[in-house]
Amino acid sequence: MKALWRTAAVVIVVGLLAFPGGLARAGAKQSITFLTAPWGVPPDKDLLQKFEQQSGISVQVISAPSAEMYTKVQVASASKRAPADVIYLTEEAPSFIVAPGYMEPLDPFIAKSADLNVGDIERMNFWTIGGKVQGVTAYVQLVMMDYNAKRLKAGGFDKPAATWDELRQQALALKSKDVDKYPIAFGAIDWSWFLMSLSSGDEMFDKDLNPVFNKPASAARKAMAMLIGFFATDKLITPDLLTKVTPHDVFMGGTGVYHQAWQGSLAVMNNAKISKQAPDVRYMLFPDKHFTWALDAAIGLSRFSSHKDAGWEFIKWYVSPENQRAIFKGVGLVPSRKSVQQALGKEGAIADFDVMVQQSKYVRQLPRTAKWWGPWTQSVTEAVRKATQGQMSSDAAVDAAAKRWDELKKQYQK
Amino acid sequence: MFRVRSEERTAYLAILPVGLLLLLFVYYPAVSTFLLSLTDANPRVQGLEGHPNVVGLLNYLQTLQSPEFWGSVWRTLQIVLMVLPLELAIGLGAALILNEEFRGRGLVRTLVILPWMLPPLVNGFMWSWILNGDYGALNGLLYQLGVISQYQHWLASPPAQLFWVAVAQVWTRFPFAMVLLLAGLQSIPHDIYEAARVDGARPRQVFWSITFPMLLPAFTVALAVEFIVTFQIFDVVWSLTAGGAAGQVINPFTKTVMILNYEVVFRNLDIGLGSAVAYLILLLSMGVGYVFVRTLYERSG
Amino acid sequence: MRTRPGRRGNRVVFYILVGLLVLWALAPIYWVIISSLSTRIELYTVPYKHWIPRQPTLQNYIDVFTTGPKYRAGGYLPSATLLYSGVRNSLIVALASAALLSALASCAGYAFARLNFRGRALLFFAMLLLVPLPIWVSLIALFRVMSDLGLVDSRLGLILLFVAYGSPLYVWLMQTYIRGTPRDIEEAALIDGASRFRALTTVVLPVALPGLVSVFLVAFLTVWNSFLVPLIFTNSETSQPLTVVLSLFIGQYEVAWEQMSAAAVVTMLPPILMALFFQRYVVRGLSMGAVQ
Repeated sequence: MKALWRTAAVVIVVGLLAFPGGLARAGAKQSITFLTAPWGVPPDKDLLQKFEQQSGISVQVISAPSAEMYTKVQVASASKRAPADVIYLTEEAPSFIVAPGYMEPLDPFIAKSADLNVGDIERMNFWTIGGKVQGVTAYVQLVMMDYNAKRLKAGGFDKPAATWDELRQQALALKSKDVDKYPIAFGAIDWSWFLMSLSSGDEMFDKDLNPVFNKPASAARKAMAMLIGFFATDKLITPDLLTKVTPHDVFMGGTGVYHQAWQGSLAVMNNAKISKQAPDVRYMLFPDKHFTWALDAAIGLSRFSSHKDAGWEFIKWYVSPENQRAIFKGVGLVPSRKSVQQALGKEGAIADFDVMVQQSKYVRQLPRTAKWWGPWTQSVTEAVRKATQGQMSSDAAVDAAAKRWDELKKQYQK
Repeated sequence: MFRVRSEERTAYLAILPVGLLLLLFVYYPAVSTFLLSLTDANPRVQGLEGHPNVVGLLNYLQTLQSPEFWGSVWRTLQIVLMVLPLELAIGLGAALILNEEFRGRGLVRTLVILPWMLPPLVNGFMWSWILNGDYGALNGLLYQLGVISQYQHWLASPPAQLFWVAVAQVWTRFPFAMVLLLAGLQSIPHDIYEAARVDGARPRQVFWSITFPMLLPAFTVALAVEFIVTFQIFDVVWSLTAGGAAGQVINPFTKTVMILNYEVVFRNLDIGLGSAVAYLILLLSMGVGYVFVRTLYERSG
Repeated sequence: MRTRPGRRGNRVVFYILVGLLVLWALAPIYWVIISSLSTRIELYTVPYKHWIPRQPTLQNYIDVFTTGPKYRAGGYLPSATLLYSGVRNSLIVALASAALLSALASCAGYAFARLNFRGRALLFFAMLLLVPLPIWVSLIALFRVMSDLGLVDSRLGLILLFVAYGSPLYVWLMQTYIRGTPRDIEEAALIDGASRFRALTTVVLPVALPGLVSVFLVAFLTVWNSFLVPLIFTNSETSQPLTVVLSLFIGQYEVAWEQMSAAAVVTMLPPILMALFFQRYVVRGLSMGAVQ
């Protein structure tokens, strides 16, 4: 019996060891937390350590899948708590995190930091919301398309398709010639529809944030019909992508000739260690009218952080040329600093730099900073998925998306 | 006199820690969630400075009229309707087997319990790997046995997704039904069987006229518990078909009531509405579970 | 269905049924285990045929615990850091919650079983009322409480939550067990001048030991297996348990199934060991808990 109690006592003591961990973190003076999507983790450990030594600020990196990240930031911020001192803003973050006012305006910090050289950083205007700067661009990222040139050639095509109809014909041919059973790697998600609509020339929204994609016979309707057809009737996309979130690992696994990609994807897709498509992947200009959208990321301060100055020091380091180079080397993300971009371009380090430059002339921003953008995109994906399963027509999916937009807009502007 | 008071003091002291924890972490949040369900609280809409309005039972009415909500109830019920019969059938079969005397019975019993012990999240992961369309074990096995001539994407269609969620749930929960039914079987007095055997009853007759009726209470309990457990299914779906933590997108075809609730509250931050949904799910699952028990008890007399 | 001893044909059928049952229960676990022990080349053979790995290897375990798979091709937080902290957090939280629950449930269970005090029936009812109340109903308000107390993303916070939400059930269980212990020895001890606490620890609990063990093990298992609560209340290595760590690996970039399997086996290990060695206690606790 005594032994049992002794064991219990030991166990409780072990449990109490949980305390000091928490206390130490709260008590340390120059310690900040950085909440980021997995690919925002500083890839060069030595560089980060150097920063920590020089500045006396220790950085705890918390990485979470992006959806989980929005949840954590929203829930904590709604209770006026800092989810972390420094927050990485990517994908749907402008809607989920920036628009509700959870970020600290950075203008005063920028004003006193001549060393930041903010003029060198691209697309800061996107992160200026309500007249205030909410984040510093960390990388620029157009949504792009890439393709496997070798396998396309095996199907008898020398050049990537210039129109969506041609792309479909090529894909059907690749399928029938058994080059690839599923030649297109697009997800059954909102993004696929956005990029097909934009590149077909649809503007999707007008200046007052009203949908125009639902006009009769719009390019967006045609795009939706084609996307659904890829899954349902043409069978050009693997059924795996009916449930998966992104098409990237399918493509890396060797399925697909055409692939929805991002600015910087070639660094991953042509890495033979992880991708079966290496080394034949090339960028292409989007078909038809070429338009695409951008998913740049930024880095900013939580409004509820109590270590804002230390956080700002970290941000300055994060967007410094050295770290941007390290990120490009490690993960292939394209630096937001024009100087670094040009230097890398000159060194020939950026694959297909010319296609990238050309594609960057055709960018249309979607209203990602609308507060209801995040919830809306979820319902677009649902509509796409229902349509791929034949539960609604492609036109009905477009109408459902427009209806949901109007509802949400009304709720949020009340 | 003094003795009683000291006993009372000891008693209060003994339950004080539990009482405090319950007040702070259980009672208070439950009540305050209920109060939230009477408001239109949504920090994204109201902003940081704004305040929610009291809207009475509007959230409940809105939920009860929402096709989205009933859609998720229906999907959940589809899973439940597949899980309950399958689980009880396999549980009963296993219990009947383990009720026999045979060499290695103890070991078999120990091994068969294992699925019940695993974290549901791991269960979902395990099945998603088994069902994988490119390299999964199910494809490998069926191909080797000549049942399929090429690898299949098992989770491609919505009904298939619900079905496999149900299978994963049955796999992890059947030992529970088995344990209950086995206890029921072992509580049936042996002489009844003896008497039946002397009367020349055949095994099947014995089963339907003695074993099954005597097991009915255990069945009822298993049904009610499993209804509630399966109605509130979350982890398995999360890791098998929902898109999981990685999903910006929650898969609509396996959006069960709990996943819907998670989405409304934690993704959309519609806290008022989400609180109402939470209470409705609780009421629905407890209510139906209760009705199960009552009707079955009345039927069995 | 009932087989009669001595009839050979029936016996064969019976053993086939036993085999099928074991196969059904174990095949999925077996698959994950061999996946974790296979080389990538063997595991990704199409059509698959290596049901017993030809070159079994521990490399996948070494990989997840040292370098770790790097999700989406980058230099991200290696999973190794997360896995180590996950194991540590899961162990600390599960052990501490189980120990605290056993202690608190013994005290409160004893009070409800043996002591007379005003409001006993009412308090007991108020507690039992909470047994079926699942934690997720009040997650939102709970988050505010936790963040006001500074308990978000801390192991202490998780422990307190699990203890609070587990206590109604376990107090009830202990109360049942203690009620089943004989009264006379305890009374003899009290007359000899022992305090209530002494009587509880030296006389009552040794008799109710099987119950206490059940409570400890079931509480450990429940906490170890939990996912939704830590998913919401933890953010980082300071408190994320194994299940949450595993969920971060699943789904997003699932290209390394063999390493994922190794991580999954690590997560399943404690429950499996418990089932193998303490089955009787766990099963009794779990089924009583579910049936009350």
